[in-house]
Amino acid sequence: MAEKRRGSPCSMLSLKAHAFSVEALIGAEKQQQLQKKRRKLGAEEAAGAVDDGGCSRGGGVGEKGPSEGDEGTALPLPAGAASGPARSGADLERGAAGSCEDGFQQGASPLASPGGSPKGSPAPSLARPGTPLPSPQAPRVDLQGAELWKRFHEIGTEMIITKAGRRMFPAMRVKITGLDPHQQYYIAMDIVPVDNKRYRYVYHSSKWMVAGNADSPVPPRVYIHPDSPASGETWMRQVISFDKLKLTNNELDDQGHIILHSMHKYQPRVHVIRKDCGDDLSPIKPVPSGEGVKAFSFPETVFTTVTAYQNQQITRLKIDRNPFAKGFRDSGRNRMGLEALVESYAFWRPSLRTLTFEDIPGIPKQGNASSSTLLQGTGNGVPATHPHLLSGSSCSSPAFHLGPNTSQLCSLAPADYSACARSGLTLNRYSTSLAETYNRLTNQAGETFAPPRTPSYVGVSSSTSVNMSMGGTDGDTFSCPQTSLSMQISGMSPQLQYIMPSPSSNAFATNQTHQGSYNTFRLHSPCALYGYNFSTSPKLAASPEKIVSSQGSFLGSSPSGTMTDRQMLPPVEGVHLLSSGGQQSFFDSRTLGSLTLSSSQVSAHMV
Amino acid sequence: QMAFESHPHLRGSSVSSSLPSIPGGKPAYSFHVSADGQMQPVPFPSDALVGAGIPRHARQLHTLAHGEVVCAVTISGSTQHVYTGGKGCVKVWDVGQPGAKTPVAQLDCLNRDNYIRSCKLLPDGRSLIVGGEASTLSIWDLAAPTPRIKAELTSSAPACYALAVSPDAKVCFSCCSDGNIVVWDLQNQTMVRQFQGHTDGASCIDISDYGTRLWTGGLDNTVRCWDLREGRQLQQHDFSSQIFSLGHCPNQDWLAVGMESSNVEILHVRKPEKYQLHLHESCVLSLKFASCGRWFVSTGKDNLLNAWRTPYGASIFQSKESSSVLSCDISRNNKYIVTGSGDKKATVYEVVY
Repeated sequence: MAEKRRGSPCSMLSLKAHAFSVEALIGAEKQQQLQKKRRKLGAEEAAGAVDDGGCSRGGGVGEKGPSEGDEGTALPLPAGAASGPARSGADLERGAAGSCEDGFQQGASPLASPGGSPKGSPAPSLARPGTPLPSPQAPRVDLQGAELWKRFHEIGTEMIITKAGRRMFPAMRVKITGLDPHQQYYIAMDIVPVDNKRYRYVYHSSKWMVAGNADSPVPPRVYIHPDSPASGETWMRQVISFDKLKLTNNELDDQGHIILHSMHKYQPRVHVIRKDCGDDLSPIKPVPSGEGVKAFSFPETVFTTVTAYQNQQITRLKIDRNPFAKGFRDSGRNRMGLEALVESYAFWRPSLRTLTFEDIPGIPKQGNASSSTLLQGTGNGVPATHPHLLSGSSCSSPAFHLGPNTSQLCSLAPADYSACARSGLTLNRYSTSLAETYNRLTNQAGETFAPPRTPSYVGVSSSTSVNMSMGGTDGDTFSCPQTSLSMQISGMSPQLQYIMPSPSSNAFATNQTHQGSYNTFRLHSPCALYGYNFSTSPKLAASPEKIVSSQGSFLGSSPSGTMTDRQMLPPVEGVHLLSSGGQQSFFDSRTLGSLTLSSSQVSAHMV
Repeated sequence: QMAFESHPHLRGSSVSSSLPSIPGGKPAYSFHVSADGQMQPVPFPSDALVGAGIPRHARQLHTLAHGEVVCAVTISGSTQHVYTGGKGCVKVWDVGQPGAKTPVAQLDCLNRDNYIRSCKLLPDGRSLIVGGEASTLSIWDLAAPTPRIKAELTSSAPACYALAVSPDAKVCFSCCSDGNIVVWDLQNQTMVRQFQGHTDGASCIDISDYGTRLWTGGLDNTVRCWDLREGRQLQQHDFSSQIFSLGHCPNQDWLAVGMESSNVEILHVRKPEKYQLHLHESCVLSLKFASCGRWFVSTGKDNLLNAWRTPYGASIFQSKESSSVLSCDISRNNKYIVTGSGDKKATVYEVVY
């Protein structure tokens, strides 16, 4: 049979037949011993790079002519109505000799071919033309944004941790290769101590020094990427972003955030876990170990936890690079706290315009632009500074109010919405009562106030991001029950109404206090001090007051909620916009956390 | 996949979240598809999982370390012996007693690099027919002091993916990689006819219990029914995915089909209705009915062994193995299940009732 395998044109075997080869049936990564021809075939196959999506449609690769050297052109076959994520064996395996391999994979089995050696190669999903195929067996993880990490690392990366939980900047973003496209995996992250020391920052020498031994170990926490479990093909096709992961110093945290001690050094790790090894995977247990679990870490992502930045260079770099902190960039001055807030409000002008990534030149997108992530209220948090909501009237109080007479309605029908998304600002509103409290509190010296935080980081980057599908199906990506964006900015100052999300079955992201899912956008203030998420309820236009009244309290936090039907507004539980956070923290424009900002809320955080 | 929670459940094999769910249990995985294509989740009857002849679960008894991917497996009628087909050879295992297992015999059928794809015992248990990635089928005499080849049947096809033997042991059917179904007269060792129709490899085959009809599945996404006496195709069912395995229920009018798309479909052989089952997450590589017909097993590339109730597919038990499960067999007395694994071994399960 051997001679048949080589180079003989396969007139009888099609790609589909190859899909039935033993190699295909056992899954690529198990073919360690059948790789003799891999490299050889790799070169041939490299020429046949094919669209991965086509390859992976259920039903296998389309028919290819039996001639040698055929490129893999996968004809997507319609999947069965309810079929699972099946992939044709052919996608992965090159059953017959001569078939090429998939960029990641698995050994083309030189044999297994029922005698023939067809050259038609099943569409290699990831062949890179002209390059030798990488070793397929092992998963490989590449850090995205490594340059930025390095810059932080050179200074000494610091990450803010808070009781409510704070996202990381930079966020961990990786690309994975070397997975079995047909295998299901969980991807998770944990953060482990680098050493058993506690640190302090010595200002006058601008150095970190050991200050003793580490505090006792924290409860183990694992952040499981929300897309899990998913096929290797799914994982490999996108940048995997952990931007929603939050760090907390609250050892009694019950939000599933990663618990860390302040002033300790940590190393984030990414885990790739084969689904069958994932039985023990849990957010509150250490990552399981075993043959199907692989951990990856990047030395340049080591950081020290802080409750306030110690090294000013870090602060500067964060402001400079974190789009949510853009507000602090004003004329190169580093202003923090109330002062910065006041100034930012002064720039607000009434306009309803959603911020999109397009507005923000040169800002690298964080996170994944794929719809699935966006649906989760996603990591594309990038708010621009543009939407200046307030008119030129300066407000001395840091109240988030919009200038007088800035009522505007933007009612968008779903269809309109997407068009409008690029140009409209979405606004949040706060209930009157809360606004009063707000004012009162912000007038206190030393108070900074909490940015509205939402767990969902929706960068109003594109229309897609704004339409958080509630339904959770692909078809709903761009439509949500309440997609029209009607926000009314009342003329009363400070009347910012914040419409609460209604509980629904889709909980976005990390905010576990919310029951609901939120269609959110963010309103990014000019200084991007905070973002608001507001719902896109078609009914909002009608009567903002009603909305207000149905809310018990002001939600400082940014819309983790969608503002949905007014009628459905649930009482907001105890979100206090302002609090007396003891820390000198900076305004954090990113939505971070639970809507219930409890007592320590008023802090402007900059991450 | 869109997550609904930040920390999604760690589900076992699960159904796509877009499918409707019935409260209290797994999300709906069994659907009845009517003639007009309407799909409804099936409310299982109360005797779905209980009753005479319905297993409760299965436990692993033996692991047979074949040493190569076990693409074909069969258990003797006496349940004494298991035959595992790997690369080039079939190994014979004595599973009649407990203890570590080494093969009691090895039948070298093919070149060492070619996989055995199917092995079937004749009803009297004295002969084994082996087919695989070669043009020849070999018939082994097991009754001899040491097993030896009794005959070889050579066809023009480069490979045989599946075999079936008629109940009267006179005829054997071979599914070829070129799509032909070759019918062999075992006594005369000659080819009787070929059923031509599949436009791509024929991957699986079963005979209806009356011995009059042949059902085959192909890589051309079709399931075909052939009349053995008239020698012609009677039915064709078209699917959107390749067929990797099938089995005819021994005493009921149901045909179970295992698909590349991970679906298992239970077709009624005379009526245009079927059940669609979603508990596999990857290709369904093999399936087999118990001799009583009331349940069957399917195995998948997702490492699962699923036992189902005929015909609506209530899940009786599931077993997760360490690798793709390429082949399976159920002993005639329905007490043992044998599976062949991508982890180069076979597993013998005892069915617990």
